[in-house]
Amino acid sequence: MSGPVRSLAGLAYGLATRWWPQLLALAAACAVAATTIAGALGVGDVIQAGLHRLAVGRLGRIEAALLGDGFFRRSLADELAAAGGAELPRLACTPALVLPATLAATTPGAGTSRATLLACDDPAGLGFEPPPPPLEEATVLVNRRLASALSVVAGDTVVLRLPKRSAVPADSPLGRRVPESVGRRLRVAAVVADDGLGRFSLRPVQAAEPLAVMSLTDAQAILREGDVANAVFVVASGTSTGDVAATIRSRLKPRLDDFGVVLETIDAAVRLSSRRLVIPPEIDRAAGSVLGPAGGRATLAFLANDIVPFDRGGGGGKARIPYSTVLGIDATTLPGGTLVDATGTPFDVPLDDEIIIDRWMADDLAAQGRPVAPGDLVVVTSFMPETIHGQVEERTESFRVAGVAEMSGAAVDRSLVPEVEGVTDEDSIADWDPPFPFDAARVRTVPPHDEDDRYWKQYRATPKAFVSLAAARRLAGSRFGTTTAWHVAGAAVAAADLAPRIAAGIDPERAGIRVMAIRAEAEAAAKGSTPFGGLFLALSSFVVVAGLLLVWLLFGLLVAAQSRTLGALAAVGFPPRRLAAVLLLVGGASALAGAAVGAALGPLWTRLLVGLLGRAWDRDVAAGSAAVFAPQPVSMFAPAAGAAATLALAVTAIAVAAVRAGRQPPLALLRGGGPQAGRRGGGRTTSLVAAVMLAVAVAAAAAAGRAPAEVAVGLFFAAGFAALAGLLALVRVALSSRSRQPARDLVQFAARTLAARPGRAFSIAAIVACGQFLVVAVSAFAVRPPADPSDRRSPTGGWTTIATFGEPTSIDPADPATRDTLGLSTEQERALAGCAIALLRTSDGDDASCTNLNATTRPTVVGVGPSLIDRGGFRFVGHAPLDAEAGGNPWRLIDRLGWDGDTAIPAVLDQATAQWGLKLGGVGSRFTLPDESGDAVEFRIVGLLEAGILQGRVLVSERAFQRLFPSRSGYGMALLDSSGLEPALRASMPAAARAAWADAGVTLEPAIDRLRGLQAVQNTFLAGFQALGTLGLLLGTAGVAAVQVQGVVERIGGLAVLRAVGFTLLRVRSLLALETLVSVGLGILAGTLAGGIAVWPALAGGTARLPLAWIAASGGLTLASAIVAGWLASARTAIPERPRGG
Amino acid sequence: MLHLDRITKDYPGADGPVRVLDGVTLSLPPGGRLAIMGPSGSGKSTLLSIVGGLEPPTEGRVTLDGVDPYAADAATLAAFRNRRIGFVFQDHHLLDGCTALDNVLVPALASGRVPIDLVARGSRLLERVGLADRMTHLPGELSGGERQRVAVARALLLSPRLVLADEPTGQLDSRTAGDVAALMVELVVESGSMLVVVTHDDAIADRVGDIRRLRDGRLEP
Repeated sequence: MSGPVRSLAGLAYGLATRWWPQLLALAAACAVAATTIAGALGVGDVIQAGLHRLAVGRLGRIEAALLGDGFFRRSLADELAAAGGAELPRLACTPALVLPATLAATTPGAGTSRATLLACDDPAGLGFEPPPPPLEEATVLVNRRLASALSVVAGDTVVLRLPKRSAVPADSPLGRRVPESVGRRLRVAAVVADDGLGRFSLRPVQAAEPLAVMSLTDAQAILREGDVANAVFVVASGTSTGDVAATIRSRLKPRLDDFGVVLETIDAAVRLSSRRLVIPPEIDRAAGSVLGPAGGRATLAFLANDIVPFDRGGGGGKARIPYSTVLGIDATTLPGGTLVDATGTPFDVPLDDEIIIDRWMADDLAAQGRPVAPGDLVVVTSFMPETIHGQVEERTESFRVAGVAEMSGAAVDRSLVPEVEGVTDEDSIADWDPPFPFDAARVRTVPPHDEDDRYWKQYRATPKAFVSLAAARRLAGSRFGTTTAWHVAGAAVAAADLAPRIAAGIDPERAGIRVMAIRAEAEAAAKGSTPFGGLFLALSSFVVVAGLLLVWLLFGLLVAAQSRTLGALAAVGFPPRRLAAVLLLVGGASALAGAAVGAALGPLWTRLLVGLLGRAWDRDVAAGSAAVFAPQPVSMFAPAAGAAATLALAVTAIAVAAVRAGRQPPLALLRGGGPQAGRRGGGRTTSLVAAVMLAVAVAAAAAAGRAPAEVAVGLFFAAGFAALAGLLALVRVALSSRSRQPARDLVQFAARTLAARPGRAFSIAAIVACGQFLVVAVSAFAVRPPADPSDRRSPTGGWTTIATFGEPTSIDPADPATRDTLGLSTEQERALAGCAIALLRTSDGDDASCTNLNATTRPTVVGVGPSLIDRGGFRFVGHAPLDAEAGGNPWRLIDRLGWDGDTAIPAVLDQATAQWGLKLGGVGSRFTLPDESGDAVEFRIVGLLEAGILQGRVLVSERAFQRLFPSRSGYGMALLDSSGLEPALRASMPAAARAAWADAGVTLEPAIDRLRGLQAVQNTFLAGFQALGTLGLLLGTAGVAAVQVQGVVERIGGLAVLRAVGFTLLRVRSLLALETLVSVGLGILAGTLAGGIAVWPALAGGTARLPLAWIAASGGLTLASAIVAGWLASARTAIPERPRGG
Repeated sequence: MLHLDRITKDYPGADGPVRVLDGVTLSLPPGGRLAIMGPSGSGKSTLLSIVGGLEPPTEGRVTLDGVDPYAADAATLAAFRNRRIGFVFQDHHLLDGCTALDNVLVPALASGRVPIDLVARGSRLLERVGLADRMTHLPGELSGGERQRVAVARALLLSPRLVLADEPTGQLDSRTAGDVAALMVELVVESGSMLVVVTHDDAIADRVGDIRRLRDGRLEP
């Protein structure tokens, strides 16, 4: 600095150049605080940006998609593209098949993997970057994830298998529960990176999933379903793409065959029937509104396994008619003619307890020695319309014979019953290959008693009996529909005219063709389920407080160290305000420099945290997730916010300290020691503060134990802050207290010397307490796998294996009859027979567990059957009140559908998903989710589970599931418990399960592995938070060093006296170490107790556990490092053996 | 018996060593009292430090009751100061945060826990210096004279063979200075210790007893 100082700023500059060591420390503390805030904010930014990048990356330029539950015409895509004409936006529509597939490498020992198959002829048109290589015939592209799983490279051959879907719902008796698959050998044309097209997924997941891409033409050839697709991907172009999904909805005009129904003319009549056998309710409704007024009649055909004349005497019941079609009608005149009796008189529509049998049946029963006449009863045995837990069950119903229809007109009309593959298309009834339990012995196919076969050959599935439509619907109506066909008589009615009118009346979304705004949904999901920035910031706040305390402490030390200089300024006439201004200028400039450094370091801290988080996530939670955590371009918001917040807080702290210093009398400053010298805290006010804050802490902690989960988090922080504040107030009181008893040992003596400047000791204690609080509170929530995974109350529920199916299956290996049909070895059969198996229905929702970083709005709904409900298991952290009927098993609460007049569907979720993933609330909370038709359905939480293997799913009863997703058949996952098997069988269980569910694309995962993955999420975050706690403790250590340096300088005279009167240097340093021990020890104690109070509800609830060894270790290490830091710091200043003077 | 034999002390200076003490020799019998006077820079405080075991001489030998403190290691030297020497400094150097009694007991803390009899002795000494009602007061709550009286009591706690006082009343007004000096001498006499006082003040020197003058590092005859 040149020339005389002529301004306040110049004076401040001059002072700063002389005080730079202390100011450097001050700037460093500010830098730590700014880095911490900016870094914490940056974590949220980076993860969100990463998710957004992946969300956009996995969709290319796809804006929206049309997705079908079944197949629709490929040309629907062309029609959609052309529908808008010249209107904007222009839609480029790419038809595709998206199917679960199983791929196997052909080289010996190579792997098998489930994958998603994307079959489309122009993947490049979807706008992925980099553009994928062209697809050649009989080749497949695989992404790196799949290639790695299969151990294949370009040029290798793989076998791709696709499930052959049963058109008839698997949950209906005629539905095929044993899936079949079709496959083909393909050459791997190229392995594409797990980016761009290689990351394609319709689900919001952060890790690339196994993906195979082939041409649509090839996939169609494998499926043999014709020129079909089940997806259309839409890329919009034009000046304004606007709401592409809304545009698609307005332009979408599917035809009836796109919904799997056929309107055809048969013998001058029109018939509407479905490939699914039963016409889905939405289409039935639309058909009724068009065909009803045109004279159309709905019928419902069902299979009667047996029709037996009722025998009042109880004997002679051998006469029976096996496997007959019964038709429900609401008119006796149908397009094929009228049902008439022997006199030619048309029948009335049978009453609900009446049945009209045909002449053939009447004659056959008579031939069997049991003739029936009008008024007689017959017993009809039929299958229940829906399987119960995968099993078909029969029911019986008695009908009074209304009459015998002659074999003419409707009684011989084959068109009344739709075709069923494997049944109606067989030449002989002996050739039937039905999916239901078929007792071929009942059927008379061998001459001379080949009556059934002869009927079949002549009439096929023509009904032998007729009941009212209402009765048929009572017996055979289901969630899949209540009509098997509509019939319209008269040649005047043209199917070609009716079809567009019916199709126009169908809401595609309700009929299984959905428009998904997948880009908008992906971008919404990319906002993340967990507010990482907020979470890190909340926990960082303790470190920030510690950093600011250090700023306060260092500034106080600076003022004390420069007290004589300040005193000189005061003595020469600097008024208090001007003195404070000088200090504020010096300290503020230092804080500004520190904040600027923090803003620069913040992104690095973010990168470090995110890098560690990403590595841990990729390793322990979900391989392939690292891309989410990849470095992003620096956003200026987080560093700027961190620097601004730090500067504001630090300058405020400095200003307060500067004003206090400025108000000191000049002589007091000249004596040295700063404004804190001799100042005493404590007293009634501080004690009162301590009492109030501790009371608040206990109240908040107690309330947290009973509060809904989302409120409990806030209460946790409130309890933590209050406990920390209260205990630190007690520490302040303790440090300021003065015993009347003389100090008789070094410890008491250290307490006395600390009491000389309680503010400093308190600051150290407070900084350390903040760090220790974080360590304790965070480490209490670390989770470990259960000691005994077979314990049913553990997070595995006692289940050992989780099976997930690529294609829903109805195979239940727990059923001995089913096992017999699976072609298992004896050992495999024994292994499965000894397992407990719970089949679970699953919707097409997203994983809402903590392993999915994306926000989920459509979580997977799981239908839980009696095999899980009756077994119970898992641990409920809360549930609705149990009554006697529940028998102490909270699982029974989800079976109370419509109970107590409450129409909301009872649901059980894990607490973590309810709290973080879906933000739903606690027990009793209500929320809505879309059902199959997209309608919002209300749910109520009746139980919250401890986080376990069912995490991330909404669990409802099977009955509720079927109501929500009526067209969804089969089970999406299963839980297996093999713990009861002997070791050899237990080892063979996985192979047995794979064999049993081979065609369903089963994936088996040990339950404990799933649990470890879930727990790794929590532990990964906790590790990050613990790093923050460690930072707090490091700040405390830095504070100790600073205080020691300053303390030794200030007390050099007193310490010299000690040496003069005989203290060895070691004993003097021991005294200093003891002072450190007391202040740091009090901080550790306060932090530990405050952490304990904050996590107390979780401890009481069993969801947290205090790791005492870890707490002791961290506390001990902190103490040791603080003492060493203090020792080294004090060693910098030589303590003479005589005080100055003389 | 205190014996100083040709004590010389040099300090390094810009132009070579600066001699502060030059062959000082003196003896003090048991119970003897000596005031050393001299102008500033004459080496008074240096001489006191050498006698008190705080600073070794460049040449010469110090013995107290035949013991040369500088012949031992640092720990023994510290024990020597603790047990045989009592210091009263110009600036009292009482410890902040410690009560008057705590400050008096500090020498006893140098070697471990303070025995109860020393607590009683400390209390008695404070009573003796007239601070019976100030025992639990902090230094900041005491007047200058009171603080110096605490320092005197501290110096006498362990009944040292030799009490060394360096300008003990330099920061007190003359009346208080006289009172403190009288009290100090009285207590030293009672304890049977030897007393060496460095002072500018003739009145204080007169109260001590024998007076020797130090000029340019040499004791005047």
